[in-house]
Amino acid sequence: MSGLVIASVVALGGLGVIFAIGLALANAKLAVHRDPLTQEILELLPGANCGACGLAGCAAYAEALAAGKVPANLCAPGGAELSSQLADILGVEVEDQEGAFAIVHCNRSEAKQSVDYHGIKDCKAALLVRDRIYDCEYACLGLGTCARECPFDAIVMSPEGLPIIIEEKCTACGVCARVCPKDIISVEKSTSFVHIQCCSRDKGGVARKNCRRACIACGRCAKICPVDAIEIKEFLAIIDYEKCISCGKCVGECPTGAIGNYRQMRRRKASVA
Amino acid sequence: MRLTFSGGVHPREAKDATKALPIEAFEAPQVLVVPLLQHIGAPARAAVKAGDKVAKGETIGEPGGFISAAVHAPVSGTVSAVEPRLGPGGRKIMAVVIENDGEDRWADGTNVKRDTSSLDADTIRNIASDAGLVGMGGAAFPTHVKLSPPDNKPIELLLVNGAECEPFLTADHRLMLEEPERIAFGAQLAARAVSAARIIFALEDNKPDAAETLEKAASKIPSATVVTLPTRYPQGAEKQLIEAVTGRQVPSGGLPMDVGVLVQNVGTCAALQDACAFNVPLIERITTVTGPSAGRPANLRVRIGTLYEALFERVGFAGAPRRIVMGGPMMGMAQGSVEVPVTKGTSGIVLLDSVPGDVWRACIRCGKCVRACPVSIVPSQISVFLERGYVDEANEIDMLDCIECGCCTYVCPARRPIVNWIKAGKAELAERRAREREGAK
Repeated sequence: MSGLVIASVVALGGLGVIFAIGLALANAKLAVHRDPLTQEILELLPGANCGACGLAGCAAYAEALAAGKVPANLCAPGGAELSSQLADILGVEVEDQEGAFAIVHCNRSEAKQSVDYHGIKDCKAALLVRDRIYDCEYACLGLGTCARECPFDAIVMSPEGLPIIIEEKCTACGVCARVCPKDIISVEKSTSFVHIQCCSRDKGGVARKNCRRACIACGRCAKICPVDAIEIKEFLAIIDYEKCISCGKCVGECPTGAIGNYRQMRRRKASVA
Repeated sequence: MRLTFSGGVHPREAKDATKALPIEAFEAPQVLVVPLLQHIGAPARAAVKAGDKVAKGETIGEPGGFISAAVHAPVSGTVSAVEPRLGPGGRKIMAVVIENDGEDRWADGTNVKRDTSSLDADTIRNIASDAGLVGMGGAAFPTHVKLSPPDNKPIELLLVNGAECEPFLTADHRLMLEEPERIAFGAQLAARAVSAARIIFALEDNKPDAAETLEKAASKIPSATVVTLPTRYPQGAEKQLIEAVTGRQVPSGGLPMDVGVLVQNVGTCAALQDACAFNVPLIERITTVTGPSAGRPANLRVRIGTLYEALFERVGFAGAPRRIVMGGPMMGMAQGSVEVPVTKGTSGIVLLDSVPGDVWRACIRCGKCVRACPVSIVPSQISVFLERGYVDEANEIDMLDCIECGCCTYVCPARRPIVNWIKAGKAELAERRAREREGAK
């Protein structure tokens, strides 16, 4: 009996020793060399793999940073804090990074739904069989692809089916802007407070018929703008953010309420908080 | 031997409403909207502009490439606009809008008899291309492309597809009953174009009368036979039909020519005979307008470009239709408007009185879809991946082999919109690949 015990202990123990030696050799021979700098950077990055830096995920950005190929201020989710940390590690200077938010350029909450859609709740899937769900062909489809794809859970869908950006969470990574098949989301600097909340390139009358809050290209905003920052292109007011001083004069002038003043909204939120 | 394929389902056929009704000519309406993209491939280029006078059969769209098809004026009249109009895919596509002058004046050189005995393969291909022929079973793939197999893929057998496995549709059935000679004649021309030694006419056993008429027409062709297959959806899908009739499986990602077969729909064969024997391009087709919400269902011979609303005036409604489907209920596309034109691929318009539910549950892995799948993939697992956005993972388990027949969705006890996910997944994958290609540049 005890012979059997000793034999199995010796056999298994011996096997264990042999495997341990094998593993130790393999570890020495096949070791993957990781750059400690890359590793350190990677640990600092948010790990959302959102692609805002223009590279394929955080690991790629960390490698490129370690190799000195890219500037240290490309990570939108990390913001200014991260870029200064990165700059310290890498021993480089970075330009200040401005905050930014995703902005939804549609406010069609009163627009009529023109067709029934019964498929899966995905904007891109809906567009395979429809060019619109609401009367306006430029309108948000409201199926929430942006909210689902947001890596930071910064988008919720309103009861009317419009995306609401939670600016406290938004890191301006731009994933929503990229996935939106109607191109109604863009990322704008947090210092820009005035935004056109419409994307309709329909002629004024058509746009108005489809949606009460549409830009009807009347041009009053362009006229009142003190710095000539608004131009009407393809029946839609476009703000040149380089020129815009966010004075908000156009907001009151717009007959359909198609221009939003985010300064008020942000201030209101701040006072509530 | 039982001639069938693996998988498949047997939905309620619902063909009784129209299968005994003779084909009726539907008078061309006042205004026709003829899309320049009615086929798979590149859109045709407009060959006319607003204000031009056109004659019936005149080319109004030139093919935009090899895989493309010409488009012809279905009536004589005046072009009132060339502009984007709503197509059956739910998107706006370029279309030629024609005001019908009611004269039905043929263009020079069209609608004249031609001796077909001397036509060689190349000429037949060119005629098919000039006449804008596309597969009329619904997919609308340009016919001249299918008639041009490469030299290393010889075609041994021409399969003429009269299966018409979609519920409700009877357009092919009526064509086989009423004009079998047109089909047989066109089939001979198609066989000549690809040097196929044999012709087999294949149809389902729910159309015994059509089998009889086809048998009679085929008896005059020495190399032709008629086979009757058990009624089972999707019998009319190209690869399933080949498997059922010959026992050969088209390899994943392959084409029928890989197993030496060419499949043509009966309607395409009939159109090929019109093009070759009379120089008549593809400007009309037979469409079944039916469904529980159709007042007086009918098999109509309709000019391409006729808007659905004109057909509905003729057919009428029995209660308000909840859904208008182009094609059959299994694979067809629900339409968002009645201002959609009949195209070369419109095999039917089905007015349904119900809409699919918006509620589905989690996959319970019962495996019904796996048994029903005619291409032997695992729809349940693919749907689980795609529901979570895992497109690459779905692709690894053969998402792209899906023929979108809808059997999985039909049998799913959890009512999961599986094909819907797969279609969206395929589109997403194509988009990602395009993005990668762009990134690589």
